Amino acid sequence: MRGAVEIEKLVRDHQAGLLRYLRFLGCEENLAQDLAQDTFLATIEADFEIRDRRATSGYLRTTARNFYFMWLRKMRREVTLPDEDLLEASWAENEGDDEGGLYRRALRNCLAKLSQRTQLALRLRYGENASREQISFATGLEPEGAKTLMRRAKDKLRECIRKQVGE
Amino acid sequence: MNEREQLNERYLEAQLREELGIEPDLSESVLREYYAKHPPEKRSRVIPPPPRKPAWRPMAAAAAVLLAAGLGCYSLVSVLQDRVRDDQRHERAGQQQPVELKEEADTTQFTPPVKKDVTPEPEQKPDVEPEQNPGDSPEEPPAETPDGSSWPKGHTDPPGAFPVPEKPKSDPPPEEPDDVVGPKPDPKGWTDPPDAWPRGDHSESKKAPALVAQWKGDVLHVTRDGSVWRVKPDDKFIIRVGDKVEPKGSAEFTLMDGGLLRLDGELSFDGEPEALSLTLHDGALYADVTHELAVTSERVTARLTGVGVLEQRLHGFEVFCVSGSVRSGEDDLTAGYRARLEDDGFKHDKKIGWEDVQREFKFLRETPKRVMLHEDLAEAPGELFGGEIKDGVLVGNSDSENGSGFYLREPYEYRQGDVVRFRFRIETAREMILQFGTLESDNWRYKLGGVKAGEWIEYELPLSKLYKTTDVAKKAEPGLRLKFFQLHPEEGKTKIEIDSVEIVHQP
Repeated sequence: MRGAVEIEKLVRDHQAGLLRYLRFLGCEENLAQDLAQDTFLATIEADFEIRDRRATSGYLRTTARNFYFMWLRKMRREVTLPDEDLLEASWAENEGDDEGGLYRRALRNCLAKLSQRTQLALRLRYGENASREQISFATGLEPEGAKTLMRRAKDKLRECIRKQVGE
Repeated sequence: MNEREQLNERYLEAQLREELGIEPDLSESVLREYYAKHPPEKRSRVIPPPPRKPAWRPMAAAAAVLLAAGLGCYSLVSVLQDRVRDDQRHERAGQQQPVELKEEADTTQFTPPVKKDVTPEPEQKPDVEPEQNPGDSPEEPPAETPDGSSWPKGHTDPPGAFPVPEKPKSDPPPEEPDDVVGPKPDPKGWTDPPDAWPRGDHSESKKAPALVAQWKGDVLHVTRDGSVWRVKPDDKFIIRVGDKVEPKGSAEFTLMDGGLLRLDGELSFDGEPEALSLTLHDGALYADVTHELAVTSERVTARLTGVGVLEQRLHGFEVFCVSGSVRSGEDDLTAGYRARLEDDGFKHDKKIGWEDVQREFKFLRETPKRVMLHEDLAEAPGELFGGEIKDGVLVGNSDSENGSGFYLREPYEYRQGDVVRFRFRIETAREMILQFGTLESDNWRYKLGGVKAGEWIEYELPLSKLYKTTDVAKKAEPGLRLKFFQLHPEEGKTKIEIDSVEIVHQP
């Protein structure tokens, strides 16, 4: 049996990356948290030997992906996921060598350059899980306008981040 | 958009969620789930039942030893007496034969047979058995004593009488403080041994100050003086200094100064009514307090004034400060932020709102409401106007110029999050106005709109919705000192009945 300190360290060290990965796979917020918890429990119960951070991350991602596939089958959801190699390649490319740290710093810089209204819309959408109607009410735009605002914002962010991380 | 671009888009969205949202800490839930499946013996949260057998057996053994010793003493004394008598008999032989025979008969009368000495005297039993021995009536909880002074002192077997371990029914009855309803007898009809109950001579708990005015919940497990009590809301149980409580589910505690706690976990009470010092052993604690509340875990102490939640973590607390502030040493956390508090201070601050706190804690999904002021109008709280109290209702006739209402017992200072709730009925359908007067001699009102006639209506209104009567663009702000409450129709006349008025504070 593992000690509480060891378990807490494992979770703290890897929860951000694991949640990010599950969101990257397409899980909505609550599902991502549930699957992350299941993944940690399965890993602890399997007595996985924690050697280095990279290996542990890889193991957790594989376990989480399997849990997600199992959930999709159970719920009879037809979600077409890209090939596993493509998934991993895209993940590795975006994460870089520092678990997405460089990307995140660039994202912060780029977010700060957006207008207040755009920032509000993004915060409501990704921070508060607000509906398009709520966002449209808060920003004073029609729902379609809010949708367009966010699409343009993401385009700007992607472009800005690409420049900053030097792709 | 091809697959690769789609994945990049998802990665960006994942990063946005992480950057703009509140990242959960899964360590607590993982640990909870893991230990639910693999319970560690030492960290078990199951409260052990009162130590029936371990406490009783040593008593029985001690009683048996005493009994054996007593029998030995008695036998020795009897033998010696017999010898003395034999000697006397020999000395008196031939001189006072008839008298000596009479004396022997008297002596025999005074010397009790062995059996009589082992069993308590029959006339002593009624003191112990009829109403105070819960073992006789296992379905009924032990009787409460009216107050501590009336507790029987030394309420055990009389001195010199030997305890009879084979008959636990004649054990002394449990003695309780006046405000405590003890554990019920177990199905076998046995009660806890006397040592497991608070006793008359253990008066610390009784004297300890009460720290909680009332509590609401399902069942509370209270550890006091080493014994665990199972308390229900109907029991007249007062939580005092030194009590450790753990509710089934969650429970709400109203403190002596009106402060509100809601607990989902395990908590010890200490300190004084206006300077509480709590220890959160497990789970999470919501607090809405005006006096500073010190909450300690193994390593840190958080001092909260306002509204906040503290969640016990391995190395400290996760702190959610909704309003007011939370201090720890030199460091502090301001309203609208959550942070991890460990022995090196607050860290990982993130902005939060009350909705985030509710999302985080299931036991706070139903918003806690602290009652700040309550008038059920059984009597006039302060000066009445436009009516009089009849059968617990303020009844009056009102028009657009003259309202029906009352002055508060003392001015009430409006705090952010306050809501006024009142129950009223009108005779004629009218558009009604609620109005508060303030110490600053201005009035603040709200138009309730059309109100049906003849129906009791419960109305709830955040005080922030009030606007100044003479300047409708000016909204009420915290700090206003309210002095009276009144209702009146916007136009026309109507009879008004006001049943109750209260102000509650919510995050």
